[in-house]
Amino acid sequence: MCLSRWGYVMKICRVFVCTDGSIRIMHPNMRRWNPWECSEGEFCRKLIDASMTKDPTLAGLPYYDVDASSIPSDRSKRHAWRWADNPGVYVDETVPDPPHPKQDQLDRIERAQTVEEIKSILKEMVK
Amino acid sequence: MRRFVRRIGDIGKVIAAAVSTSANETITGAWTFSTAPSIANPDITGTAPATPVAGRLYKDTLIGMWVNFNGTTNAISDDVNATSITDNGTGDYTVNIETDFANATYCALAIGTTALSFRVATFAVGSVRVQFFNEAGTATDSSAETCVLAVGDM
Repeated sequence: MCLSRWGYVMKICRVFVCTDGSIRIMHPNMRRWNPWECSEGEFCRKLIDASMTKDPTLAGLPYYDVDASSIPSDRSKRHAWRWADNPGVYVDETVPDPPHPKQDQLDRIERAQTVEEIKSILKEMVK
Repeated sequence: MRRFVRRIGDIGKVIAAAVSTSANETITGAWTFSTAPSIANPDITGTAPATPVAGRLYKDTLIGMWVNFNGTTNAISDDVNATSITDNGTGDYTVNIETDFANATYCALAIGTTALSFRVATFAVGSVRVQFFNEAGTATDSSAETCVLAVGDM
């Protein structure tokens, strides 16, 4: 369900499954939905069909349409979202967290045993 | 019907007139309107020259798309020319565009209401992909009000 000018309506999203197993989710612009013209579902599918041709990186990826309410609201593990026919989008706890971009420096700080070593590392970080 | 005042012409006087146009008209010379003219949907056809004239409109300087959306729910709050948002991952969004740009060399910017850096990952005529990062360089979801805009020739 999502909030639009017409109140809460059902929104269909399209889940694309990438070759590495990660997923991309297309959310249609519900502001364009006119309830006098078609149902929410029909509108969403038409708009998504047109939208997916605009992004060449989606070409050839398998996809599935889902109710937006079935997508997890907690995005803290977004990198671990995966697709299965049942239950749909889920969090795969076996997917490792992405490495911290400054992990090497953090590791060096962890290994440092003297103030001088820490000073040296910090000086490099702020260069 | 539009009312306007014609600039002092060769005959040296101001002419007030009510004009009704039913066909294309070519107007030459400089005109001064008594009140600011209202133009509903002007068709700007000229592109900017190497040395643009200050204060002049060019079609490749217009905002072709802008969108304000929620970086967590990906719901669009307001927009011009955006059909959908693709959630590619944490802090990674593609805005899909209704009317394409003329080429993929337009300019795009993104910003949220929290202090994050961003980069434009991919330009395509019908979509633009933007990614947000925190101070440490880690991909981070953008805020509840995330804005992307693109300027260029359509």
